Amino acid sequence: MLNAKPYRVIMKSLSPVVISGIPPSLDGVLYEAISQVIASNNPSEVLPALRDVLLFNEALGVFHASSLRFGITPEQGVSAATSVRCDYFSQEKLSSAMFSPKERGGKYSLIRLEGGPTKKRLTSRPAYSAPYLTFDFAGDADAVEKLLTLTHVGVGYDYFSAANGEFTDVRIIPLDEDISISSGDVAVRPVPDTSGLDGVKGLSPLIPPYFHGEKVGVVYPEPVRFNLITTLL
Amino acid sequence: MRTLNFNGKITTLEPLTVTLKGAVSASGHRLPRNGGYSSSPYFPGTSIRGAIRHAAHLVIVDRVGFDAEGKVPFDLADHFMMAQGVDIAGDSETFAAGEINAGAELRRKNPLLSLFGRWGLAGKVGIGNAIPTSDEQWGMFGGGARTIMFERNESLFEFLEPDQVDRLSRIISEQAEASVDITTIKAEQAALKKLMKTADKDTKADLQKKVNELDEKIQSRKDEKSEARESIRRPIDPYEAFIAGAELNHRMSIKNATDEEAGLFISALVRFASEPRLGGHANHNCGLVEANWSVTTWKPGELAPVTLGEISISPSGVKIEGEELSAMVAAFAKANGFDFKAR
Repeated sequence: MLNAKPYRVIMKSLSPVVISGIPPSLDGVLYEAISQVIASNNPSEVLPALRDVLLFNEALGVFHASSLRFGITPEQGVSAATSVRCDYFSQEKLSSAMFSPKERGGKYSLIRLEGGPTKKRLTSRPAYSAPYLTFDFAGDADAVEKLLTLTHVGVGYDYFSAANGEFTDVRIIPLDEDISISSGDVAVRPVPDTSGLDGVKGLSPLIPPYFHGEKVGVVYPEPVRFNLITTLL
Repeated sequence: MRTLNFNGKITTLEPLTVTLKGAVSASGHRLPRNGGYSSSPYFPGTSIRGAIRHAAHLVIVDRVGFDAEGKVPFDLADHFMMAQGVDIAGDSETFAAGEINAGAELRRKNPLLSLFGRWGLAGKVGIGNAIPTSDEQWGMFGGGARTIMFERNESLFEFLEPDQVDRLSRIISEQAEASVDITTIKAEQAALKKLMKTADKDTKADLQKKVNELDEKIQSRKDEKSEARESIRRPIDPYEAFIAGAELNHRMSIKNATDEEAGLFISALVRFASEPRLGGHANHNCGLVEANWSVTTWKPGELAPVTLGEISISPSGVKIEGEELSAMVAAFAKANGFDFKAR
């Protein structure tokens, strides 16, 4: 893409981020944003649009978009949190007038809430809280700002369904050099393990959507990285 | 299909709170936060999502009504699937991993599942957390103590026979004695649990055994009471809530929705407005809210949304401004060929 420049995006974090192994990267967030804008989940339609927004590194086969780094303040660091979800039925939500107990051979004549598949469910996931979320990228800053501001996207696991990793106050600042793939010899996003960069070894797709697609050997940064926000501005 | 974004505010008409697992602190039940107690609390999007999904479930139950024989056409498994996305019968359709448009046929038949999802079928609806617009919009509520009513109002003794007065004084003295004993045992347990945190595996097992023995001791102390085994007098935890009149920013989205799906979602908001309550402690008059969202959508290829209208819900009614939004509600109402039992 033309005129791709290095930038850093800084967002104020509103709810804890759930990280499942590999830290979330900006191209994943923007992939979801674009799929909302063009109303398509088809990678063959979303990925070309993503290439108009982020620079693509043909040699490594990845976008110039870093993984998450938390920004902390002297008052608030990164802390452990939980994302909790609860499912249960109460009298107002399900009454016996709503169903036929004789259907399916009378299998469901009673609603048991103490156990079995209909029990009250309470799930909690470990998550991280910090005041700011930051990513580095090379690409079109205006488009990235619009996509992050005007669509319904968040960072990390289960934003759409459970509002984890919600953010606000998106701010983009220019950088002198592109550090969206590596900083020194260390990977700051998943890259092929043949790249020679240092990082944690694992398996992951190289481009979004990350929840499916062919997994290859990668190195990726530590799941939780953070810096004082004053050093990131 | 298009993506609709709802941006607006939820205003509390009564205190608004939620009780979460692990939310109890020394100072009571606290609202969830992104960080320590110095950061602002938020009202979780999952609680709002649940309320709207349950409202959508009721919209469907009302819409389908009774069949020709006067029976409800849904069984329990249908309800659990619609209201919670839980497959209790184990017979929902599975889709190949990574397939584009997987579940397209199911989405067409059952817009409720398409909107709110189930295991293996992502919901199109995204609901954000409600974030306070400024500080000082929350505080601690409730709290206090459960006491023995006869101590508060001695005139109640007039309604007790002498043998019942004796019974009461026996219960009170037994409870007072047991309470002191149990407090001592619990302090011992707390000390052991603290040691367990740094102990090695074998020591930990020994300590756990001692903790269990103390549990039994507490139980047997309770069993010694002739009746009223659990304490009557007890402190009641306070809980944190947004104050009445608090303003919370709120966003929602329906990704790549058909007009019928959007219509069902708006119908669910209308249904929710008939009892617009969120969160817990309804018995303390908590949870009543009103809300207002402006609705925008994307035109293909453009990077800025256009406004479709506005939706306001309050206990005094619902206002839908915008022809396209009303048309979506009508599109869902008029559409045929849905099968809400499909999963």
